Amino acid sequence: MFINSKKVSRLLFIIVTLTALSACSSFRLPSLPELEPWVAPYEREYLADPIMSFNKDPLSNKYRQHVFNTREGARGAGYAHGGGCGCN
Amino acid sequence: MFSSHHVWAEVLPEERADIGYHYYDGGGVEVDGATMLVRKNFAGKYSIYGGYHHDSISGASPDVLAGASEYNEERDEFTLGGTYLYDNTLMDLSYTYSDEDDYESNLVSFDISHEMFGAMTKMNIGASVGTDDVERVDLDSFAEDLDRYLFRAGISQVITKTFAMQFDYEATVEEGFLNNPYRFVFVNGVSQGSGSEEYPDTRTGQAYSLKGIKYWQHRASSSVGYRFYRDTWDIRSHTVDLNYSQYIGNQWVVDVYGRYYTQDKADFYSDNFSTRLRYMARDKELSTFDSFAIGGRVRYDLFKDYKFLRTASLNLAVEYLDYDYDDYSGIESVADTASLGGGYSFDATTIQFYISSWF
Repeated sequence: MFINSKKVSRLLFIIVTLTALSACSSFRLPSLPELEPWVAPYEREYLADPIMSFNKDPLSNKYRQHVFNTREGARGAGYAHGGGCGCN
Repeated sequence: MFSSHHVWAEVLPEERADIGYHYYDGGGVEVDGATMLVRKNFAGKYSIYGGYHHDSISGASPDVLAGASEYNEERDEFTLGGTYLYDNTLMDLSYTYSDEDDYESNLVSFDISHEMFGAMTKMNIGASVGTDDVERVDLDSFAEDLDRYLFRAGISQVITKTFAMQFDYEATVEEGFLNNPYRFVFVNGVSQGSGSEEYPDTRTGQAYSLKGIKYWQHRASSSVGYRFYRDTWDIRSHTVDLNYSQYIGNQWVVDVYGRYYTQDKADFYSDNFSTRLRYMARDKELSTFDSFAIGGRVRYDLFKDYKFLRTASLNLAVEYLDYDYDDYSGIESVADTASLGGGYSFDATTIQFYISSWF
């Protein structure tokens, strides 16, 4: 039977990773120091302002993204996922 | 100012409805149509949303013109999704369907975001699976398909009381028929006819983006974003995004934005091949080019608390785009082949008008 070496190495990688993960989880982790937020909830008035959102106009952003996606080679890590081609 | 958009505490997205009209004109193509997006929340932890987008397309860009005559086409896109809030975790499932005469697309997406460290940090992961059917309007027997897999992960971080950052990663894997069925290539100045492009049947791309947003005490914000993209077709690109938002009085918000984009060509792209190769592309989207865009948006809030609406606004956005190609000539007919090699450019204008309401 023909054995694909790529598949074997991928399988080995998965087995080794899972073994390592389960080994790690079986140890008791030292308790982490409690992380104190350095910006308290009551100090987030400015952060909560709508103009502080990267996507405050979802409809408009989605349209812009589609205009660029259909004219450029790059894609991803943007705002929205559209469908279709519309690329002529 | 009217809407409480708590970006940094895990809550359901805002209940809002947007309806509008969009118009694009440039490079021999005109596209316009209606668009809408509605979201409604229930019981404080469920949310459903739906969207519709219509494109009415006329004309065709030069790289397609010689293959298919000028045409009119309609595209309809529908999105339906649901979001579930559980403690500090948001889960979102959505389906998007897009249909045009010669192209049909389906995409299912699932995303999870989780807030931690006293809501200072928000992590998200997500995946999408899609399948597209590619057809030709002039050839009934032509039918191809394309599968698409996307994986994304991101992190948002509060840095100070007025500054936040976001990092995103996204991988896109496509398998199937990736070329345009109409487009043609030139070999030594001779057109090889409609559908003569030949692309590899897989493409894997990776995008990394980093953004920062800052609040200014004169009721304004500014953001900067950078994205790097590369793929297995040897395309590498850089994108820079800038935005400035300013409140004016109690009813106006003005946005000004700019964008610069540049990319290197795919390794099997040429405006005019010297010999026939296994893979050949002449799609200007795969060539070497750069583009810039500059635009602005004005929002006017109509009222506050009227019947069941918290507020509603009128919005107008106008953007100017310019694309400048290094190794794409835009030549349509064999009579002009002496000019093959490069030098094409086009500019375009987009206009969006929409009404937004929050309830």
